[in-house]
Amino acid sequence: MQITVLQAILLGIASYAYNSGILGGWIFLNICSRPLTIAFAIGLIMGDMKTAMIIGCVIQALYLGATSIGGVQSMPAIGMSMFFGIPIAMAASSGPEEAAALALTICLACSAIETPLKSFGNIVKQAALHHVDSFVHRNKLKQAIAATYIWQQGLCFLMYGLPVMLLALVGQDAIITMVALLPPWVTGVITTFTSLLRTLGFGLLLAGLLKNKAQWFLFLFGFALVKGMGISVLSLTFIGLGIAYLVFVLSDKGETTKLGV
Amino acid sequence: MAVNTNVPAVSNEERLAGLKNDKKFINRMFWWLMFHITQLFTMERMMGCSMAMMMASAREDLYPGDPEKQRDLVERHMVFFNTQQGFGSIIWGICLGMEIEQARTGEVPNDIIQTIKTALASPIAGIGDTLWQILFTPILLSIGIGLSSQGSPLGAIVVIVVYAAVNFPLTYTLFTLGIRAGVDGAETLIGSALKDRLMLAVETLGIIIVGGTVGSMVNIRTALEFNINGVVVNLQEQVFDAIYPGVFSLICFYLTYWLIKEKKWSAMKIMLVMLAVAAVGYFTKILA
Repeated sequence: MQITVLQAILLGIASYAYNSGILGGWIFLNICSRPLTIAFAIGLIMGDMKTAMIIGCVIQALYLGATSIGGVQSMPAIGMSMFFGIPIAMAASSGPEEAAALALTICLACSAIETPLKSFGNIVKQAALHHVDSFVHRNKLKQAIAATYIWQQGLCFLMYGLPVMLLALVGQDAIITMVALLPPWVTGVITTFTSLLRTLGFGLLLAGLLKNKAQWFLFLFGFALVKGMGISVLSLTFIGLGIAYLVFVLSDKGETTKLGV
Repeated sequence: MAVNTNVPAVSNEERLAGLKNDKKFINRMFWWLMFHITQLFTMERMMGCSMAMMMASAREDLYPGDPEKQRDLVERHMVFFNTQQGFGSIIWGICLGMEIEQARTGEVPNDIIQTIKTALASPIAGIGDTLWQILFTPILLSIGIGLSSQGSPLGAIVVIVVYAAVNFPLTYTLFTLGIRAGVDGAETLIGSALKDRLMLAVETLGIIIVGGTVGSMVNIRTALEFNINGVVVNLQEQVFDAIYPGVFSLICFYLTYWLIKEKKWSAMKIMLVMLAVAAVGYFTKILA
């Protein structure tokens, strides 16, 4: 499988649209930048939904606990890298498991390019903001709004769209050749690494959720239902919703604690 | 958008008083805000740009045909502002409501608007970041992973639809509440006991779901075998799986959790250690 020119262009456009906030503004912004939803777009463009979603889930599991509070990100930025890392891994690998490990490696390696690119973008945005200010001071408010959008969208295209188009086309041959030359132990180590990484995302998330050690019972309850009894996560969601509802009702004004005593 | 100011029956003051209940005006401001929020987020002003741009979008409604006052209105808001976008929409609403009052009566000085804006930003961000970034979104994504881990697109579709179906009414309601109820509305939100109960319930749901998703997604195995008196014992199948399915994955998961929670290691540090462990584990067959 090879990435065609049309697919590379579409990947670039998707990367720009997902990262620029132009898709429904805030309503979708935060969910668009997630590996799971990005994989969905890549699956549509590449025509291989199954592999894309399997890769998306592996990366999503690692990025589950990732937060961005006050502009500080807790995990390396891969919002752009995924748009060429996942398709290239799909093109270079033979199976979904191998593709997932490769995609994650490419994305994490490319965050070394993406992070400084983002910092550079922030400096340009700073300058853009002062350009917008100058319109406001001169009482050209309509132009100020237009300038805000032109700067933001133009910058997003240059930072997220164009690099994806170029890297998807230029990078694929280099990476496919490299993967073919890799000794089997490298792939083995990367696959093992990927399976360990899955614990990190869930660990970060759980660290934010657990307030006391007794709540481990809730965790084990969910774990046992899925792993031991084979219940699907969707069914577990409904069971969980029922328990959450009980907690909500019973926690009313601390009446339950009084009754308990 | 130009506002017809030549209608004699309605004075400017009455028109401004009606703005807070004008659905068309609120909708227009809401959608402008939804797009403005995502524009030019910088370290210097963070979401300040979106506040100024929302005021710029409301310029003809607040000060029709008065360019000087329109400019002052926007200039006042070209300052630092940061909160959580969804729950924080109440603050954009409150500021817009106060600016409408200022345009109508001239009795709401800029100091008060700025103070209220700054005072509300942190507590609202605290609620929003916890409920939205730490609870709602990751839990929803965990469910999505559970649905899509075998390659089905269903998880992604469910995540997008449910996210929008919760985010849109929440943001819209809070924005409208901000315009109409002002600071009182925000106090209800910050001080309400409902919020604490809701958080506890969502937390409970979250922990159960994470437990289940770890069960379905984390699959770490060992290939170690022992030879005891000529009998080969496969550690994974005959020891760990015999105790409980997935118990080895669970131990590995707890180790990671312990490093995060108790040892306070950063994600980057843990990843580097994991790479080393993976290499050692692969060659010694401790991990397969």
